[in-house]
Amino acid sequence: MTATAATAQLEERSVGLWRDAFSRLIRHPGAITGGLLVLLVVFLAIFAPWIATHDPMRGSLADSYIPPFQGEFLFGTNIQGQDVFSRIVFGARLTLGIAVLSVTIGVLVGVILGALAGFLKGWVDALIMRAVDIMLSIPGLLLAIAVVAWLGRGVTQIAIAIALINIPIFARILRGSLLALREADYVIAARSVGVRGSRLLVRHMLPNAMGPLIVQATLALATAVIDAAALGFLGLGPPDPRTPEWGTMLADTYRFLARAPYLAFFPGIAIMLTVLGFNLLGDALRESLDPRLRR
Amino acid sequence: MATAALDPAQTTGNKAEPAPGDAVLLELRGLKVYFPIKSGLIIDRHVGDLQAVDGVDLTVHRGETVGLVGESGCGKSTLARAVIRLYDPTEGTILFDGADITLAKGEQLRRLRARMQMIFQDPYASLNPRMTIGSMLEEPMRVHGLRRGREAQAEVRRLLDIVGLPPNAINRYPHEFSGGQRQRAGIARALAVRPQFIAADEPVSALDVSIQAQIVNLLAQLQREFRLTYLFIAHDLSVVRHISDRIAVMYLGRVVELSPAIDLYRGPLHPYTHALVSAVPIADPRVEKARRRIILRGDVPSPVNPPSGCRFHTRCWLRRELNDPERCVTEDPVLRELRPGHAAACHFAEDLIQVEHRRELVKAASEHSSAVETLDEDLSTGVTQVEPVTPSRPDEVLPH
Amino acid sequence: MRLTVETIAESEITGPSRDDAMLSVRDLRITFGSGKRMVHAVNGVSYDLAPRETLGIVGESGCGKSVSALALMRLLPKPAAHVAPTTRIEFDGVELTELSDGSMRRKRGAEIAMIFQDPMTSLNPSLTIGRQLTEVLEVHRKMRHRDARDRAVALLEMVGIPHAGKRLNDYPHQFSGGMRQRVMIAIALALEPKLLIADEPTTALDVTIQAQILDLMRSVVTDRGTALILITHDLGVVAGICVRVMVMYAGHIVEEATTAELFGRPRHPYTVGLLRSIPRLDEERPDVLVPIEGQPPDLSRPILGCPFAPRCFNVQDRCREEMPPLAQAPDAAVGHRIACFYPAEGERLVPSGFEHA
Repeated sequence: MTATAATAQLEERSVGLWRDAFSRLIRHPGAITGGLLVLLVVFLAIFAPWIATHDPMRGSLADSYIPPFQGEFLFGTNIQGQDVFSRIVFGARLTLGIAVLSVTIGVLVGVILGALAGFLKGWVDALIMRAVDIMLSIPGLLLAIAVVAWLGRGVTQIAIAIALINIPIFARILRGSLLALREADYVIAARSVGVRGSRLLVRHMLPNAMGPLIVQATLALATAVIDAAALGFLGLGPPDPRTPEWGTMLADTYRFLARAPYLAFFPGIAIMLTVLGFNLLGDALRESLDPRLRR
Repeated sequence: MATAALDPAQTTGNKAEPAPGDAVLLELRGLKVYFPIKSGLIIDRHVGDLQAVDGVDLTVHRGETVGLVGESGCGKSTLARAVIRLYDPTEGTILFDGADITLAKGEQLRRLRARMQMIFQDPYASLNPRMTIGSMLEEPMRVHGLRRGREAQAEVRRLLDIVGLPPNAINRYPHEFSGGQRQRAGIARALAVRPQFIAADEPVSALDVSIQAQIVNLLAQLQREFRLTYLFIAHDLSVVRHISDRIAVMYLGRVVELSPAIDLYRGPLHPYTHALVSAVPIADPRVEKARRRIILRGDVPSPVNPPSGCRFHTRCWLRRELNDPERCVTEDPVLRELRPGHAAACHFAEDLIQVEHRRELVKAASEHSSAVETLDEDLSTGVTQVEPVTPSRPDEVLPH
Repeated sequence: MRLTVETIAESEITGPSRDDAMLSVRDLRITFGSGKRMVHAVNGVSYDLAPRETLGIVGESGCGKSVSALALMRLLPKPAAHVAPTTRIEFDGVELTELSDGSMRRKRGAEIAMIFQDPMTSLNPSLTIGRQLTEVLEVHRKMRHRDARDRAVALLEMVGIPHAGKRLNDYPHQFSGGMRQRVMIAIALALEPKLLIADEPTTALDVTIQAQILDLMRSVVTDRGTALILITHDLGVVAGICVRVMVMYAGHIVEEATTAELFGRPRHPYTVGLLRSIPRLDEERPDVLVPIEGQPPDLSRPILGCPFAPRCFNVQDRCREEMPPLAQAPDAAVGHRIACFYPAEGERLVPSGFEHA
């Protein structure tokens, strides 16, 4: 075929695979809903000081148990007179912070381990995978509880504990992707051209292994929110009782469901919507990154 | 500078035999590639081997195209990959340009990579989907320290021109191209290091028929222009016949016949080749009607447990015709030269030659379309006519 | 706009079905998707098939040959594929497009059967092949299990599977590719259908196995008087087994003739291009391969004029504006039809090494 005819065919802008996936993503109904929910929470977290109406840690007993939607306290107040709305808003910051930190640590460490295992194979692979198996055999939450009990309560410690749950999952995913990619024609082609070692891994294999990792990271954010809330609920949240953390808020207020249901309702809804948002986004990402559904 | 417009007046210029004095570029001696089969509960034990390539001797001369054909499981792909050292040989020697590269590693292997390249079958899987064509073509140059920067860019543009891709392909991704175009990109990548030798592993099998011819012509033209040496692997006999000078037919890890391309259809010397050739459909209804097909019985045995003696003996029609000689089961036939430049691995190849002679008579008779009945009369040695066929069963062999 | 001209022209030319036709397809039009991404897979295909006839449908990927066969069986994916209301498919006097799902299901297997390219995915991997065979017989013919089993053994023997009785209890993965295809043929012919459609039945098989299967199909079809539609991209296969051939390109039939006519004197430039571009095993010296330049068209865009125009060596202005109707080719045998305004001259393509009588 003549070069001119081929050029004519390629007149549209070059579309990388990421852009193509993105354009499918934004059309996905789940992505839109999930995305909006996530954006809302992120927005609350970032702009908390400007959105919150009161200081979330302060309250006077005179203002306790005020029902919601009745005036100055949008979501009402709790037993200590603290504004529930402000606590939800600041709680977003805390929850999101823990979730992002823990997943980031999980991804980084998990990817390194997975890459070592999947690329070097041999005894390195066996060693890492046995360690991963052991970590996976302990129920996630129990592991987190044990870690927090050992390291102490605190935001960083909680993040580390949750990260530990995630590390083996990411390691496994990446290792699996790398093992499959080793057999891909283009990787073999790169080897036959002379590409070796780190260049082969970084340039050829990792970019193509990112897909499942991104999906898992998004879903891991959802579970991290739940795990953080669970830890808070179990009394292992941040040590200062005045700190607004959704899980702790739930723990403190579920007893009062009969008398003041709104107290548990708002943190519960907050957790649910955040988790839902991440899950929907994760599912939508999985579908849009699937190369088989392209075009 | 080469352009995409190819001159159709040029033929592929098949050479029947390599001219004396043509240097040997690649030599394989007793090459074996076995894949261990492991099984076990806690510790994997070595329980057997998949004998993908089981003793191959082959010589490839500079500037030549050697075709490698065979059906699934014959080991041709494995052989090609072992030659360019993507696999480690289990036994045997590989000599490239005089140097022993069988166990090449590290720096020696890296330098070798600049002289031997591979073209892959699947144009959809052989290009990194997240790399632009430009980066993909520049990478080999960078890896081998051949060219950098602006020089590399210029070379990339030249390569694209040679293979007939537009210059703006540099910033495009593989998924924006058709199968044929991707295959051209793969060829350009192989050429980027200016290799001497290219192993083409089914380069046109995944392409549409009308595109295959484009790529075949391109490969032929590139060979002339850059004095390349090809090892051309394919299961499509017609394509291999067209582009090759010599053809090696493989069966279960061995080369059973090595023949000049021209003689493959006219005068195969191994019963397997005979059957293979007779099975290939030809786009001409007259030829199809006049053909005598040899239908082999059964399926190809597994390379894990190949038959004893001659590997083909379980399905061999010639053996049947000769009343099942024992030798086929007990003795492994050696690839021996029966005619100049034409070798076959069969104990009874000479008997085949006699049958060949009779076939010529049959062919002459069939030129007159209604003479199929006459076949029976001409041949008194038990060769029967074939068409029409009663229900064919795999254990029923139709001799020709 | 142009499409209207094309529709009228084609249905006028092809007219009512031949009296002896068992299958009569008129104006088959199939699209996938909708809106901007609509793919025009089949664009007005019309043909007849007589009983016991073997017809080959040849074309490259994307030409619509497989899709048009699935339409005959009404096996197209439901929401995605859209068959035009003007399409008519008459089989044995019955209009298939108007049948209920239940009626069509009864016809499938019993009167029209299909075999596919990959027997591994067409056979249920978790059922023994005996079960898959007997099921067909029990459901359609209401046979008792024992009778069905006997018949199944007979069928397996007919297709040449040794030790048929024992093999009934094996699973598909215990058979080789060629054997599985034989099983597929057995299942397809179990109810003795009048028409067998084979969609690339040997493409995934080794050449020697392919020869076995084609041989089997040829004999079985001749013995039972089944009509056969063989879909393939391999012109050699068609030359060996089919009596009539249709060449498809971009969802259109571009040439239709007897096998002898098509290979001896092809008239459509695409057919000529194809024949000139495939290497022949029996060539005395390597002939020049003359490729068809360019690429197949993108079917998600509506095509103005003849879809082959960008690649045609005979192209004129008219070709780019008007779609040529499928009509009798000038200076050719009756029934040799082409869709071309400027057909190839029809010089005899002399196969290398053989002389014409």
